[in-house]
This record gives sequence, C-alpha cells and structure tokens, in this order.
Amino acid sequence: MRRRAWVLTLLAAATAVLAWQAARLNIRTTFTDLLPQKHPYVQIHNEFHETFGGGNLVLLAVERRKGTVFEAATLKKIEQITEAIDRMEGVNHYQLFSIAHRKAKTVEISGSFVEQKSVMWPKVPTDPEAIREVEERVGSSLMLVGPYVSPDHSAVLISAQFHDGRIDYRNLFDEFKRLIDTHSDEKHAIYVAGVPMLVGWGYHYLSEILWAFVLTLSIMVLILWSYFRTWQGVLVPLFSALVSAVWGLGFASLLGLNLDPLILVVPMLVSARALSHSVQFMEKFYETLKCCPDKREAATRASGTLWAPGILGIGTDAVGILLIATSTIPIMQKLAFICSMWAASVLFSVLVLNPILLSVLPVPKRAMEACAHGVGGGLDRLLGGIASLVRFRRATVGAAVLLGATAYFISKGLIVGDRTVSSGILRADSHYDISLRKINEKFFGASPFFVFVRGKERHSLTEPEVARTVEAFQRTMEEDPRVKGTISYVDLIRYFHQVMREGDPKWFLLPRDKRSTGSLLSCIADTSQPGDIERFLTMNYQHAVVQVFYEDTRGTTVAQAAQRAKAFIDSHPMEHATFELAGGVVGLKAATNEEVVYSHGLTFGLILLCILLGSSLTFGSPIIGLLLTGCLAVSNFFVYALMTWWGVALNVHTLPVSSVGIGIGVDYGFYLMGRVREEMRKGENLENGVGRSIRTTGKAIFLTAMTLIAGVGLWHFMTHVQFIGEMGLLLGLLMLFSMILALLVFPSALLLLKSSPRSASVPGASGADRAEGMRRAL
Amino acid sequence: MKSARIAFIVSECLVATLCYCTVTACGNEKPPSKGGEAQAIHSNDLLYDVCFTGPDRGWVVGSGGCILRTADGGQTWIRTAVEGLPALYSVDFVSDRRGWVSGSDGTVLRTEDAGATWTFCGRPTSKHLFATDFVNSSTGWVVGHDGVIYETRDGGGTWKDHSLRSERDRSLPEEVILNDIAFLHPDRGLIVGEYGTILLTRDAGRSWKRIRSPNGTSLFGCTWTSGNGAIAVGIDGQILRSTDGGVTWKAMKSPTTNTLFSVSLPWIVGNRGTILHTDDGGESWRRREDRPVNFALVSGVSRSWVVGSQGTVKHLD
Repeated sequence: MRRRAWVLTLLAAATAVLAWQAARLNIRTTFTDLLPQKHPYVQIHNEFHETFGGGNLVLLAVERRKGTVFEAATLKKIEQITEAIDRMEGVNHYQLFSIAHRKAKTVEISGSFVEQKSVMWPKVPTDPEAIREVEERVGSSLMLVGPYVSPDHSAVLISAQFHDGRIDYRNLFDEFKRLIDTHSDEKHAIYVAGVPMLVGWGYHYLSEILWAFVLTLSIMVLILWSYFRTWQGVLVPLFSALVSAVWGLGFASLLGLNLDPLILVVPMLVSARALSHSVQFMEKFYETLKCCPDKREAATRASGTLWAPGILGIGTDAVGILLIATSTIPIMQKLAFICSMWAASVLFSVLVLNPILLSVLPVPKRAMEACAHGVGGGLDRLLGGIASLVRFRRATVGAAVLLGATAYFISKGLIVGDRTVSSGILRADSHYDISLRKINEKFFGASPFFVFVRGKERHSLTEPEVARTVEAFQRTMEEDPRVKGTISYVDLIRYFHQVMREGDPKWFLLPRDKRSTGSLLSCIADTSQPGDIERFLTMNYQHAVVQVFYEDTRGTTVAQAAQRAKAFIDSHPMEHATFELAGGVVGLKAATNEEVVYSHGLTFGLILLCILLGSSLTFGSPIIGLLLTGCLAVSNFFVYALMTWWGVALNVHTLPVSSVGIGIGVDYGFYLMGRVREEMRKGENLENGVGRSIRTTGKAIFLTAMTLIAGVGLWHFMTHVQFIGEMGLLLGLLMLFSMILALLVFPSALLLLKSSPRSASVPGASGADRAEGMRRAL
Repeated sequence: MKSARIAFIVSECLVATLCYCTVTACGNEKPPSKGGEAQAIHSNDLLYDVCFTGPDRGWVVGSGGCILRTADGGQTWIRTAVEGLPALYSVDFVSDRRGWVSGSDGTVLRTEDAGATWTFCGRPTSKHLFATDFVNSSTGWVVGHDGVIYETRDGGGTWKDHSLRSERDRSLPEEVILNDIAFLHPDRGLIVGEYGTILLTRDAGRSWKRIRSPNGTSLFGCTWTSGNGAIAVGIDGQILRSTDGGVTWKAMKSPTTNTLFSVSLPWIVGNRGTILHTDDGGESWRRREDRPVNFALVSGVSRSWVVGSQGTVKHLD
C-alpha cells in the first residue's frame, strides 16, 4: 500500500507494453487449427494435400432458375465469371475449371482419328444450333456431367484453386461478392462455397461480432449498476476486466498465437470471471468500510483477507483451463493457453490493482447503503422461496438424481459431427450455407472423401494388381447409396482405353498388363496440360488419390465412410502399394469427430478430477468435493440432453464450451459452500446456515450468473455467425443449470447427508481456511 | 462386420479360382433392396446389353459383373452381382428360363432359372467376348477380341474354335475385333466388327465368308430384318443395309454423325443419347428429338428397351 505509486506505475507500464502487443494481435481464423494435427488422417492429409490440391478451393455455381444453362445469356455469364476468376490474385491458373475454360474438353472420335476439342473456348456459341451441339457434347461427357454440370443441366460449377500464402481473404471475398451481385438476376442464381469464402464471411461478420460484445458489455454494466448503484461499482470491475483482457491478449500476441474470432466467447467468459472477482473485492471493501471509515485502511484489510484465497481460486481456474491443452486440436490448445493466461492475469488486475484503485478513488456516498439491497425485493422473495424449498430436500435431491440420470441416458444419443450439410459456422439460411447445400445437391464435388494410394516405388500405380484393387475399392464404395460417385486415375485409364478403341464403351476397362497401363498413362500425360492429371496421381506414377463423393458430411456419413474404407483395405492387402486414409472434407471431419469424442472424454474427466481434488482440499471433505463435482456433472448432462433433444451435435465448435463452462460453473457451488462454512463458524446450525447462505450469497450467485447468461445467451439472437450463437446459448444454459443446482440441489444434498465442513467441527481452523471461506462467500 | 469380411474373403477366393479355372459354381445373389437402402440400378452403372423374351421378362448386363432382371415389365429390377465378376457385354435368352451372358476375359455364364442363379460355362478363350447369340437351347455362338469365334452345341459346356486367322500366318489370330453376331435362323448368320468387317455364313457356321463393306469403317451392331434384309451400324453414324441376305451392302443416309452401337428394329441407338427410329422397316431413319435418355451413351437395344451409361434402362414408346 505504501509503495502503491510504484506498483501502479509498474502495472501501468506492463499494461501499456501488453496493450501495444495486443494491438498487434492477429485476429484471424486458421482453419488448420480446427483439425486434430496428430490424428493419422490429418497427417496423411497434410502430406498429400499440396500434391493433390483441395486446400483453398472455391466452388461457384451458376444456376438457371428455369430451363437449362444452355442458353446464350447464361453461357455468356459463365464465360465472364470464369474470366473474372482467372484474373483474380492468387488463383492457380492451372487449377481453374469451368466449361467455359480452355481445359474443358470433349473427345471427338471420327473414323481413325481422335481429337480433343474445347467445349466452348475461345468463343461462346450464340446461335441455337451451335448451343445444341455444345449441350450434346457436354451432356455426353462423363468427365463433365456430375462434377461440373448438374445432371439436369440446370447448373454449372466453376472450381478454382488458390495458392496458399498468396490469398488476401478479404479481397477475394469482395471480388466474389461482386460476382454474386453482378450476375444474380431473376433468371440466374449464383452460389459460392469453399474455405476461402467462409473465411471471408467470417471477416464480413467481424464487426457484427464486435457489436455483440459491446451489447454484452452494456448488459453487464446495467446489471452492475443495478447492483451497486454507483459509478465506481461499475467502472472498477469493468476496468479490471479490461486490464486483464489487455494482459491476456498481449501475452497471446507475445507468444505468437492468433486469436480466432470464432472462439471469442470463451475469453469473454474469462473476462466475466475477472469482473466477478472484482465485484467480490468491492463487496468486501464496502463491508470493511462500514467499520473502518479510512478507505486506505479498508482496502488494505480487504485485500489482506482475500489475498491468499484469491491466489488459490484464480490458480485453480488457470490450471483447470490449461487442462484443455490435453486436446490435440490446435484451436483448443491455443484457447487453453490464452484463457489460462487471461485467467491468471486476474491476480494483477484485481488482487493488486483493485485495492490500489479503491484506496485512491473517492468513496461514493451511496456505496454504504447500496451494496446490500441494490436490487428490489423480487429477488429476495425468489431466493427466500428457494431457501424454503430446501426443506423438501429428499424430493429435491431425488428429483435431481432422477432428472440427472434421465438426462444422462438421453445424452447417450448425442450426435458427434454435423447433423446436416452446413458450414457449422454460419446460419443455415446464410448465403454460404445455402450455397453449400445447393452445390451438394447439384454436383458431385462438395463432400469428397480422399483415400490415398501410396506406391512402394515409381510406376507402382501401373501394376495391374494396384489398378484392379483401386477399381474394386471404388466399386465397393459406390455400393453405398450415399455415394454419388467416385473418381481416380483408374477412370482416366479406362476412359482413354475406350477412346483408343474408337470410343466403344466395352473397352472402358483396365488393360491386363503393366506395359499397356503405363503406355495409356503416358498417353494421357502427353495430351494433357499441367494440373490436369496431377489431381489424380503423381507424375512418377507412384502415388494417387481416390476421390469418393458423398452426398453430405453428417456425422454418421463420415464415420461410416471411414469404416467402409477400412474394411475394404484390411481385406485387400496389396503387394506394391498401400491405401492410406484420409483427406477431403469427409476424411477430415471423420478425423475431427473421432478426436472430439476422445478429447471430450479426456478433458471432461480431467477437469472434473481437478475440481474434485480442489474442492475436497479446500473444504477438507471429500464428500463435499463429490457433491460439488456431482452437481457439475449433472448440469453438463442436462446440457447434453438438451443438445440431443434439439439435434445440436457435439463437434469441434461445441467442445470448448463444455470444457471451459464447467470450470466456471463450479464457482457457484464454491461461493455457497464458503458462506455455509462461515455461517457455521458463527455458531449457526447447518439448516439455518444453509438457509441464510442461499438468501445472502445466493443473491450474488444469481447476479453473477445472470450477467453471464444474459450476456452470452443473447448472442444466439444477435449474430449471423451461428457458431458463436450456438456457443453462447449452450454456455448460458450451462451457467443456468449450474446456478440452479448450486442454489437448490447442492444445499439439499448437503442437508440430506448432514455432512458439514470439517472446519465447523474443528474449532480454530487456520486463518487461511477462514479467509477462503469468506472469499467464497463473496 | 466380421461375417461380412469373411464373406468378402471367401468370395474373393471363389472368384480368383472360379473365374480363371473353368470350375462351375453358383453365383451368390444379393437381396434386391434392403429397406430402400440399396437401389438395384446405380446412377454410375455402365450397362451394355439388354434382352427381353416378352413384354414382362428381361435381363440387362453391364460393367462390374452387373446382371439385372425383371419379371414385371421393368417396374422392379433385381440385381445379381457376383463379386469380382468382370464386365459382361452381351446377354441372350432362348426361353423365359434359359439364357447366357458373355463378358471380358472369355467369361460365359449360363442360367436355367431365369437369372436367379448363374453358373460358369466352359471358358472358350481368355479374350473378351463382346457378343453372343444362341440359335436354340443348345447351339450358340460367341465372338470377340482378336477375331475369336466359338460355337457350342451343348449349351456352353464345350466350344469349337472358328476364329479368324491371320493371312500371313494361319496359326495366329487375326487382330480384328468382332463386335456383334446375329443369326436369322440356324443356317444363316452375320458377324460385324472393326474396319468394316462383315462375315456371313449360309451353312450353319461351317464356313464364314468375308463381305466387302462399302467404306471400311468400324461396325458395332447388326440385325436381320424382314424379307432377307439386314442392317449394320457403326462409327460416325453410319448405317449399312443389305436386301439380299447380307451378300451386298450399301451405305444409307444417316441423320447423325454420332457413333451408333446397336440396332433392333425399329430402333438404332448410339453415343450422346442418339436414338434413331424407322417407320418403314429400316428403309429410312430419323432422329428422336425429345431425348428420352438425355445424353447417355446408349449401347444396347432389345424389344424397345434401351440400356446405356449412367444406369440408363428405359422403354421407348
């Protein structure tokens, strides 16, 4: 206190440095962060994705609302869009595909010669006869119908690959947005999907996300104001939260981590933690001020009592959040590091900064009468009602156990992975999600499953054994009705074999020997352009990719895709090559879903264990530890049951919510238990102690919880970014359930078990212990 | 899962042994559809040939050993897929119950129960057999790659070689592809193939006479018409016609330049959804403009049923 000027200067300097760092923080979405980098599928994908493409792919569909695209005006549009994309920065000119592109060719067989002819390059046909001829040529090409022209000829797909590291996502998004706006009219609809576009939409909605934050902040201010009724009561906690946000973000920037706007909701929670710690401190400060009018002295005393338990509580939070780093999904690890630091910074922003600030700032007159009864009698009556409900403890606990068990069994049906075709990030009615569904419905390519063939040596792919096994693999996969089609280098060979035999479809066969296969492949390579066949195999004929096109990316679809492929691979060992899983949207989702199940179990278990240990030690009773942990687990089961009920799936997006959510939800139980212990030290019996705790501390719990619930829950209705809305809703619900369980079920169970904290029966418990109890009592 | 895998391995072994050593075995039949899950015809099926013995009963064969059958005029199709069977190119039934299919690698299969189960016949050759025609319940012919022509008189048990031999070395096969064979009656038959090859027999196949084609381009399909007439179709939309029992041929005016694969009056079918129709027994042909099969490659036609790429199976009105 005496050196507060020094400390303040030091903190200000540190905050300034970190603020400067925070300002340089990268706010962006890195999609690789959503992939479990240690999963074998993802490692195989990382190895091959540069070779076979598929990374920064943008898919644009032009749909003619009535009739077919084979109309002069539509063909002109297709040409204009293709040319516009070809001029975009960072586009891989060799991996741009459209029926208006030079590379879209059909094979003309006439007499003894074979000719490859561009479909409609360099000139788009305008007269009906020429258009009819183009339609016939396109319509009969198996390489075009399905992947690039919808079987009903009502839409065409343009696919463009962009170079990694040469994309300016904002720019790209603007250019595609312009294409959508220019070319959509009453006869045509334009749809655009693909990761670069999704990132672009993310940036597009960034301001909206920030506004959501502003609103959340306003709600918090409102609730704080209604509680303290002083500007100091609002500004000091807010300032503390701000400082810890600066520190958290600054450290993240120092460590070179990027902040993903998609997971901002979790840091928000941590900030709310800072806020509630600060509120706690102010409460204590005002309470102390009543008996000790010197504000400096009061601040010193208040911080003296809260210092030790503060460190303990904040430390537990930080460690608990750090446990999320056990997940192998980078976004979770980054989240764990950033939020853990953020949580730890509360040590400085509240425990050090608050006493100093309060000792410096003038004490508002209304502070004295404000703190205890800021909110009207409604809340008191509500809490009184809850307190009296505790009398029906058997019924309450019984109901909770019953509901918990029911919820647990319902939550067994929780789906892992996507439930429909969706980005999982934006709303179902967003242009992006509509595009994604449309492209999935009309064409082959939107949900590919890549299986790689790794040859033992060069030319392994020309071994008849390998080619035949790949062919059989494709046929096996195609038997699944959810598979729309498959394609691999084997199809290229068979097609060229047919072409070489005057186009007779009976020769759509693999040649019998290695030499003929090899010469067909070289023939294909000689007549194609760069990028044409590298999509299927490497130029030394060693590695290849088999693309299996699924109709959607739902959790069950991707799981069964992987299963089906594995079953085939296990029963068809090859001498010259091996099949390796997996890539493409379906493969990566399969990997992510598997990892989500694993991570979910692991982090959930570890955090529960951490809380069990922490609370058992803090309250000196494993039974209380078990009760608190049990309440938490039940509130989680409620959320899972609701997710099952609503059809919300557990995925990489919802996973961090439950992980971080439990860490914070446990505090409500802690607050209440601390107060109960304090009451008992004053000589109250357990029943009265519990009742009074609910009426007093319950109010603080209710308010803090409401601040959070109102703040994040509202996001659901505010943002186009469904990901954030969903997280907000789930967090809000988790907090709500935690609160109800802490206020009602936990005390009932406590009374039922007649278990009291050890300190109550052991006179003269340690000072730190008592202080902890007081801290928890807020 | 386990049993499925065992079934897989077993069927693999079966195919490996059965397909290449002429052992007889039963084909295993897959249930037609499991709760709407498996459709009989897939959109990626490449179908080669169709044979109807009447308005109700019909069979279709295609790539990947696919055999489809219907007993209700095409309202429902049942798929018989024998794991690992190669492409099947041609199907011919002499009655509602007895029929044969031929395919790649010299495969010939026979059924006695309308296609519910199939047994391997004796394998005449390892070359692809593109067409088969049975003149009665025991005598039939297969033709294919490298000029192979085989005849059986015991329903496919044993085969007699009538293959074309090279002019220079009579021990070597002539490397011409024979695409189709059609008998008017057991004595008179016609074979067409690559480079305008037309072969005619008038002595039940004891001798095959080479006929000069008017332009020497490849032919894919042939059929007999009423009054001793015959029609052959092929590359670039060419239609050849004979009115003297196949002895002389003339090129007809064709409404298309798309390759034509098969002919069965009153239809000719071909590439890019091409369907030609005649009202006068084959004297003149015009194009169906309403695209009944979209743009699919149509490779087979029988009794107004057409089959082709993209799982096309359709009855033309």
